[in-house]
Amino acid sequence: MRAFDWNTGEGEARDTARPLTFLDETLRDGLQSPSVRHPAIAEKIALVRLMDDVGIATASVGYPGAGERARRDAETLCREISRCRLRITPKCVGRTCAEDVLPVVEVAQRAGTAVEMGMFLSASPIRRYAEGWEWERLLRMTERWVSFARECGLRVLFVTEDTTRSRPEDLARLYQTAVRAGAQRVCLADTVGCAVPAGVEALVRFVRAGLADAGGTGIGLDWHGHDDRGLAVANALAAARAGADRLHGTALGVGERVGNTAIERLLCNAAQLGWARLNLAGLPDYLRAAASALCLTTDGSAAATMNSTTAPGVAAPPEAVRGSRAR
Amino acid sequence: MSKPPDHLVFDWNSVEPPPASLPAAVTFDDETLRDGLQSPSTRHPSLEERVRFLELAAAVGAASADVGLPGAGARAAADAEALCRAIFDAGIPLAPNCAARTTEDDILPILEIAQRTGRPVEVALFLASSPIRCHVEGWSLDELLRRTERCVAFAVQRGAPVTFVAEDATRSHPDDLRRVYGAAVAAGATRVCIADTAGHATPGGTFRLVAFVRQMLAESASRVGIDWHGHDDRGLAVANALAAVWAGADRLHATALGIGERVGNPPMEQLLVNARLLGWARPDFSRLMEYAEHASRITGIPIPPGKPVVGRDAFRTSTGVHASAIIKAARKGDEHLVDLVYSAVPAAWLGRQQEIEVGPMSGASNIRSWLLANGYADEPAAVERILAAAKRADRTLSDEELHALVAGSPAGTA
Repeated sequence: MRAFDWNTGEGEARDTARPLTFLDETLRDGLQSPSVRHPAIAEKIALVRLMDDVGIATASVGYPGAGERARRDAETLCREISRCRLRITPKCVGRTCAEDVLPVVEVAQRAGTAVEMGMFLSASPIRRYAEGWEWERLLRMTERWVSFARECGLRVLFVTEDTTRSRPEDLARLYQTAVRAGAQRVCLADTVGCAVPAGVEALVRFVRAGLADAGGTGIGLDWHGHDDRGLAVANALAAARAGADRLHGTALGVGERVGNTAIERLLCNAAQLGWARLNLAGLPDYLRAAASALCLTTDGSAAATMNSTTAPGVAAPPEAVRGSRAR
Repeated sequence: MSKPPDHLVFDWNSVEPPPASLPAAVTFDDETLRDGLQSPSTRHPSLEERVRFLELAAAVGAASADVGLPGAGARAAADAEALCRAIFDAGIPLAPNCAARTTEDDILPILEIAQRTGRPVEVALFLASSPIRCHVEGWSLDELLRRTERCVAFAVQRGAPVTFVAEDATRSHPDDLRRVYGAAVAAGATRVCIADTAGHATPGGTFRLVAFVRQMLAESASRVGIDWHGHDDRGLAVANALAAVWAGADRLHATALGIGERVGNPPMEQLLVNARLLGWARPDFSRLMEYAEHASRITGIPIPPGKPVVGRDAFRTSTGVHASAIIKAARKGDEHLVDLVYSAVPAAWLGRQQEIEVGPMSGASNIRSWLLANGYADEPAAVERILAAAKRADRTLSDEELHALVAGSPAGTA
């Protein structure tokens, strides 16, 4: 029989001229996995260098508001990125409140480098109901802390937590507020991992249209997904097709609960689709270092590779596999 | 039970209505004991272990199961027969099928099993028709068509239901696929299987291919079912299986934990959970954990903690923000809300619950929750002390470490 590629066809091209980049969350969301070891600062530095080698544009360097050690590590990583003149840029995260924004400002000022802040706000009715938050107060907090962060020289990525269960009208108002206050990017987060690819496309198109209406065509769009339904990779690709220009992932998919989108699978798919030029040859070294630094190998639970002996995209680090299989 | 109050969740997944090609019912074929055992990392389970596995596969909602390739040799034939007998004798609600290459030699042992047990055994007849392979082997399309017709007719005339599998369909030309599937259906195949043998497909590619086959079958006015058989090489196996259903496939192949050739097949447990969330099926999950754990035990392949649905960490958090929301939901006295606020899959479906632990990313709420759950008072001094230890730790603290910290010992800093 003759060869044919069913994957090519109408609607498969990315619906945007903006180049596709990647943000590595291993050192933040990755460390929210209850099964990992938190690496020492030297290991974190080595990992950021390896991410840079692969061609990843941005590294999440931590959550400074979580405590003194987290703040210090983030600061050191920002300094190292600048000292070694890496192309990768640092990003810190925190909630939309003084307790979390101030430590990021402090990191940026002490490190003397440009820092992006991923500023979270929970947008979904279910979170608001559970937390007892008032809607008007959320808008005021967004306005206040995005402006404040911008005045302090941070770049702002405004992240709506639980976006995939949030009402369209609420998202539109939050994004308008954030963009007016100076946010340069917005991030759609599938915090609980409930989305399917068609839902992601509908959501991304809605947000793009809303941003365009509000005069925010230059605003960048991030996608942050989780793998609870086993759909993380497909969702991220759907987001990129619909117009997202930066995708979040973690080494071997490690992260909160069952984890995030495995960045090696994202990078391999993006390269195969011709969406990005990357140094895939650097991936095995990066993944081996991540497995070792986060101790994905020692817990017989086989964290090994997040998918045991069978991690798509890239062969699992062989020693990791043997470590887990030996139990 | 699965649906939260409408006003609390906006469902972006159902903004677009499902396509008209969505079949009325979707069934699942368990491939663990055939494609699953092609994993180079698996150990080969005993007959007894396989029978128990089949009981569990039926219990979680598989309608059929591949019990092997009897043409591979005498032992494979004897095993397949024993498994078919076990299914029939114990009344396991599962239709067995056996794989066969397109030769009479592979079909005969299946016909013999059907004859000796007196019950139908479906033949999954696969044509090794990958374009690359045809090129290497120098096979012409006419030769493949003759073989297809001959072998399908051979099985059908002897009373066996036939599913005709075109290998590597996702890289095969539509004109060629039209001819081989057409020949198989004309010769009496009652189902066709579209195989993404190399794990090449994307969801868009899967949708186009399945829609093409469905259209082609509709033109011939035959009531032929469509199987989708995928692999996870690009990490897209689950999404591809869902896309196949949207395009008209009515039976999905899957394996427990996704164990299979190379990096494996779509995991059955993930397909079942997705099917239930999408309202395509209402499988019973009371034994899903047992199914996954048994599969792990008999293959020797561990369940990674980060495995969706069945992994240790599926409903576990030590992150402060998450724990705090879950605890506030609990205070509202709504169990269902607790299960949904940070979860796409209700833990209760699997007989599990949201677990709050204590680690470096925790806040005071994690610690209060742990103290109360373990029969301690949440005194501010204890909370403070444990939080400080958690921030110093480099991993999630164990229950032993936490008990020691309550008692005032400095443990838990390891």
